[in-house]
Amino acid sequence: MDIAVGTGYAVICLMLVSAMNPIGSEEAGSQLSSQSRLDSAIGGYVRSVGMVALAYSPQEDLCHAAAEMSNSTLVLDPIVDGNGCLSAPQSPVATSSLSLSLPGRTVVVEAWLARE
Amino acid sequence: MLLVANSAAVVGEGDAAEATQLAHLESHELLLGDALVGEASLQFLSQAQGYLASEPADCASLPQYLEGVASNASLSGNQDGVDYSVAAVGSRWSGGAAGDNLTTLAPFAGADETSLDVRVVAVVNETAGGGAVLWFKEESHLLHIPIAPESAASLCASTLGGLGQAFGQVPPCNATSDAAAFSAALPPLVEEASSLGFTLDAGWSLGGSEGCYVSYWVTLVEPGVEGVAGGFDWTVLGAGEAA
Repeated sequence: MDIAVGTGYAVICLMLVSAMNPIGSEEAGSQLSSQSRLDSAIGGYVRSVGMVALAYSPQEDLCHAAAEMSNSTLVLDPIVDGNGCLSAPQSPVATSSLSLSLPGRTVVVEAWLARE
Repeated sequence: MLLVANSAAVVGEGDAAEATQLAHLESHELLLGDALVGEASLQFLSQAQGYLASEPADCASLPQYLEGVASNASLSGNQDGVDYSVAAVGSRWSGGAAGDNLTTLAPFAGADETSLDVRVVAVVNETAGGGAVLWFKEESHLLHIPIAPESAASLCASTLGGLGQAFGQVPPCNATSDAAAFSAALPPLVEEASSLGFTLDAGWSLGGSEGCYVSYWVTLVEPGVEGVAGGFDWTVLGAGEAA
């Protein structure tokens, strides 16, 4: 809900930008849309898996859940204490990440938007 | 929740890239804020589990012992250009059963009358874009740790009461009679503890220079409690004397 409100606010800001400065607005809009999509995907993954599992489950379980929520263009990768499930794509369209300081380990949830 | 953004100034300057960056920071602050509340709450539950697993409770002071789960948790740092801090205060909650929307802490979200309920109040502050975006929220959540304090209190009363009654019914200063009384009293108490999910161990000894009073003790263990950090045993100790 909070993320939706924030995303909506961000979009309104961007519309203002578009109205006042059309030069570059299409690219900016695309970039914002990509970032918001990645943040939304990360939030969805964290809610789906849960903090307890992120802190204590084996990494392969986290990798499996991430693979199930990824698709051909949007890829999620939970990195546990520096070890990820996947190799980062060479030239993603956009990336975002969320670092979680959990009891006993640090988990960084990375999301990439790959070129179609 | 309070979100303050200074986007209008950026728009006025016509800098689309900067406005886009600002908008992304706002989106990311919201994502981070939700995560921070979950992280701090998990940290509190983990600390509480450590306390319960390492410190046995005493039948004589069980309510005070349960209040001892209270602790603070805090985190701070910078992520992707967002400076953040979260401070959480957790304490025992005795307000009865209630749901909670902190789904990232499932299955420990919500108060459950049969468990040890706790309340966590988390305050999150974030700033980004050199102060262009300020974000604040305070949230209160109810969580539970699935030990059974009411069952423990009931077993403290019944086991110590039962042994006290058994020893009180035999002649004083007679170890043979005391041993027989103990052996007869213990099995139903073990069975009662088992029915409530506890194991019961107990013992006794004669005390005093004449050996004329009986000291007895019980150890109640709730084994394999499934906490956030895995299974743990919760131990409750009790003792009494009979003249």
